[in-house]
Amino acid sequence: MSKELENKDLTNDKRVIIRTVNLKKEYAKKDVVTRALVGVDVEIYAKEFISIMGPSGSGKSTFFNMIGGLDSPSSGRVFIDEVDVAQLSAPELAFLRCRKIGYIFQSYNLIQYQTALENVTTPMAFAGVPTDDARKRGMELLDLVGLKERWFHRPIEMSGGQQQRVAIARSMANNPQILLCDEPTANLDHHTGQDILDILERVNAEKGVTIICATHDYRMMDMCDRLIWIRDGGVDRIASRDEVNIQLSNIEGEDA
Amino acid sequence: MIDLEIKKQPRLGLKRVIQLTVNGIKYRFFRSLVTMVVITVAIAFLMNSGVESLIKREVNQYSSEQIANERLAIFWLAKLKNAGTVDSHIEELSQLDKQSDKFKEFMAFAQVKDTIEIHQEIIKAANYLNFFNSMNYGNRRRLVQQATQSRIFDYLQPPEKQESFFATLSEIRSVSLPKEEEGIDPEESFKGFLGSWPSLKASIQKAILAKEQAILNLSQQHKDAELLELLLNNQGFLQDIRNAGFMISDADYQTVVEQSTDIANCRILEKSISGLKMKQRLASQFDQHPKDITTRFLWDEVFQSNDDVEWYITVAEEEQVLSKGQYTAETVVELAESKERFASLSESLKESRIKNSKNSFLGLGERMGWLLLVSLVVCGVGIANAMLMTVTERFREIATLKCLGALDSFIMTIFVLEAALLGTIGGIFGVILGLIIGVGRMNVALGNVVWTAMQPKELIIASLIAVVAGIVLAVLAAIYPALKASRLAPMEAMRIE
Repeated sequence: MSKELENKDLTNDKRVIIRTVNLKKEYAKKDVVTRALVGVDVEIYAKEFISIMGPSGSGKSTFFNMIGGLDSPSSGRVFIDEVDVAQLSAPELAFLRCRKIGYIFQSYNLIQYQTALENVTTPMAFAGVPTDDARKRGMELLDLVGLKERWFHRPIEMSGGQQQRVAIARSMANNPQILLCDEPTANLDHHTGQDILDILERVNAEKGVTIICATHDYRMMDMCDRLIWIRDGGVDRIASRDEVNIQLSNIEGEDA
Repeated sequence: MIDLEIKKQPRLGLKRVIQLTVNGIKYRFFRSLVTMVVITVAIAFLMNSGVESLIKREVNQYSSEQIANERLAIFWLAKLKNAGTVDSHIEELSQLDKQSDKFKEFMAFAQVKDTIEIHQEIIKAANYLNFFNSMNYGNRRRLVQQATQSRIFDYLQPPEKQESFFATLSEIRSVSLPKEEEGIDPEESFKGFLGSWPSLKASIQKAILAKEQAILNLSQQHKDAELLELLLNNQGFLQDIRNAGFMISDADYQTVVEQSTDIANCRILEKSISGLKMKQRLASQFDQHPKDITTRFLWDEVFQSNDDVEWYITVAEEEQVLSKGQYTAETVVELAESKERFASLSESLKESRIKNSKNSFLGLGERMGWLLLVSLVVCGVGIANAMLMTVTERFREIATLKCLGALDSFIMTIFVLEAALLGTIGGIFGVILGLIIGVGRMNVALGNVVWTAMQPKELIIASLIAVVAGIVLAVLAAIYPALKASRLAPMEAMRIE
């Protein structure tokens, strides 16, 4: 694992892939205004593995949705590859979601009436890939997550871990540059969660995909390049893995 | 890693879209089934009221035609006895083609040359009469006092009466004169008609007088013999009628003679039980009180089966109320059957009569038209509710599809397609169901005449309209929620749940 990580040369390729400028989001319901984000400025580099942490209600998921182009900010801007997301038309946004970004959700969100393979090939169909090529690539992706034998199963016939692995295969369908994971391990037990994390790490290392994870899982800290803490709708702290590891070992030491 | 320029997302092929939609329906089969059943029931309701109205209208038309045909003898018997009135002439003539024999006969009696003009005048007169007859009593009383029928036109002859009539008419808002021609003031054309009314009336009265004379001559010629006898036994009577100025075709005369035979036979048979002895024998045979042995009993009970009729004929011949060999059982049973057929026709005519059928939607009558409208609304609301539910419960799926790069138009297409599919299937089942129930119900209410009177062409058109209505309503109901869902940002759609 550490070898693979060393192969990544972050210093030579500090290209900014996602940048937010004074990002704000308010939910207004009648007279009550809830401020979910109060001005977030973050830069995320290509091929990075980022963990976003924070207590629930901190605006973590909101931030996550903003940078994925799944929700529109109240004010401020999100740049993906230096393209302002707010400027994009609906078909261009669809294009962005289809090919640039892959999404992994806490509740998997697979299409219930499709088999594993169909789920994986649906984004490729949207991208205009011919059916035969899509099937071939779909099988490769299922192989990557270790579910080649179960391609004909429907989500209801699979366990949570297997469903999440299908979701990962699906998110990789169009070779995205960014993977957005919203608490991918929250609904899984320790062991299956580890499988998912291993796959994510491998994807990050081998394919150089930028991974952004909203998570509560402390195992993430061990693999991520940087950690972003969000508290009360703002960035609390940004730390690299090395700093965190020192802290963690301190905590463990104290506990011991 | 390839850098991607951001472009517009391509559209998905129709085949894939249909495949995805059908897969979705298959998976949520039970839910789709419920939606489909709602559409089916709604369309069945719509179809049912439509079919019933159509059948009623057709049966009404068919049985009135049939009855007119069956009563040809009675019509001619009446015609050769009575010359009729001005009103009856207007009513009858207005429904005739100006080339028909009956109209030509009238022209000959009235000694008028200009067929087209008098035909138009008569139709106008009939329209105005219809206008006055359909008015309520209060309004008519205000307008024309106590005058009725064609006497209204007489009443309105003096200029001062006309003036007050038009003044009163302008006060009554709910009543307006029928429009005769485009661009001509209805008031002017009514005035014009009133001006020409005396000459029209004179022509008709002339025809009536001539007819009366002809009838008188005819009866003197035959020394006051009974018409029925003449029709049956006098070979030269047809020529005599024609000589008198009446027009009757050979085929019609043939029918008249046949029906007269039946009428005469019925009379003889009915007369045969007038004696006390016959009544007593019938009473003992059928276990009835002699007082209950009426002509009605004879037709309804005795003349129903061959055996009973044979028994009756032998008894009647014994008692010498019927001459030997005059009737066989078959002819009597046949007579009874034709009498029954006629009765059932009149019954269905009575049942199928629709109020105000002349001036309402599709000639279906005001009540049926209204019912049709209400059922359309109920149908629409039911389908809208079902479609709204199917779309809203799939918001999460829509959001997921959007995350995967689905275009708004794709989301719209799958829902509209699904609605169209469910609408088509539901519509077809609904039409079948509505058709079966409607025809069945009408068959019970109006009798077997339904099958002969029914016009398949009209029913097929109605079915097509109902299926299309099902599709259109389903699609319309799906468009709004689908549009709403597809416009939302994915996360907003997920949050709605």
